Amino acid sequence: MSSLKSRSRREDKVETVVHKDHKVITPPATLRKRAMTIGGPGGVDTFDMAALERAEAALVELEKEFSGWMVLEIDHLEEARVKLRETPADDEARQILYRAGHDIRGQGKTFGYPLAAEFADGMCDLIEGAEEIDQTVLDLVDGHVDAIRAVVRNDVRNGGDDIARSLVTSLRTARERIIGVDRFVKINVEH
Amino acid sequence: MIRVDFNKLRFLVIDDNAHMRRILRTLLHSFGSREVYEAEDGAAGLEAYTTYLPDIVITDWAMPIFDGLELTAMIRKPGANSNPYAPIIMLTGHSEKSRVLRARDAGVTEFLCKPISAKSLYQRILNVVVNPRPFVQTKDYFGPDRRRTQSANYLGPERRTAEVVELIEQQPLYHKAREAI
Repeated sequence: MSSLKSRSRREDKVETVVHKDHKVITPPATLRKRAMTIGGPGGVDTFDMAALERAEAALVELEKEFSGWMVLEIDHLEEARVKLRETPADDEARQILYRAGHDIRGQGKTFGYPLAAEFADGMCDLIEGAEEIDQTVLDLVDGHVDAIRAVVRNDVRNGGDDIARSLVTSLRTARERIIGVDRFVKINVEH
Repeated sequence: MIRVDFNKLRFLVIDDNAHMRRILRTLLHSFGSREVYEAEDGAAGLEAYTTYLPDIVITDWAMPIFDGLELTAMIRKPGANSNPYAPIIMLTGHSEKSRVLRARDAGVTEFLCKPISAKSLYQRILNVVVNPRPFVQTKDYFGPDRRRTQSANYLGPERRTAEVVELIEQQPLYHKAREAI
């Protein structure tokens, strides 16, 4: 009992073990103590499926908004594209277009347009990888933006659409002439 | 069954994209959270961090003013605020291996690639609550232990000596600060 009490006291404190060239610091397990409970149905390696199902249902409810949100994202992208074309040497304009593309890269699939995410991914790699924004790069940026717009305008939700896939390939080839083949190797992060 | 009581956790969501903030807020509220604070860039995020002392930070990487990586470095900077230990989940469209390693080396606790799903977010939160990792401080790093598991077959460079010199226990500052909010 007394060892339990002393353990509990220790868990409230920051414990620092000093080694010769580094420290190992154990912060109090505050969140676990405050928010974790074990019990109910299932073993200790299962988690609260009801919470997950509630969240998935809420996401489905939110899906009604996604098409409208995608149009707004494209408006931002278009504004940023025009700005970069006007001032190609302006680093801020380059960053704004990058971020607009990066948002679509991250959210396109959630919003139901996986191909838009794929085209945006390529555009971001191009903007990041190009040494300078010259006419060739601007034209290729246009190619990516136009492809994203076409996917949404035509409501192409199938990532395997044949025409779009061939466009993915041709844009990649054009991009690789500028930024190289393996500059941005992606990994699959477990979901 | 392991259950996380989300209503006992305070979240800070930092993302310059309003749509992504709305998705995250929807998911966190559905999990049961009541306290979800939001900021739309790194600077506002840091201010919200010191004001609200969240339990868990969910941040984007690419943001104006300063980005999620710089924000992480500022939160982790020893002595800069009352809680350098809060779990930081980086939610980003970046999936290059070099980026994942940079995020890890900045002190990020969990890395989550977009597109987001309810399950992936839930699992990251569960992990930081249930399996908190110790922190390591070296001359050029302060953050969660980057070795998630102890491997007897580890073949990489040995960057730390194991000899213990001293053991120190102290009361965390942020308990008092948080109680004051």
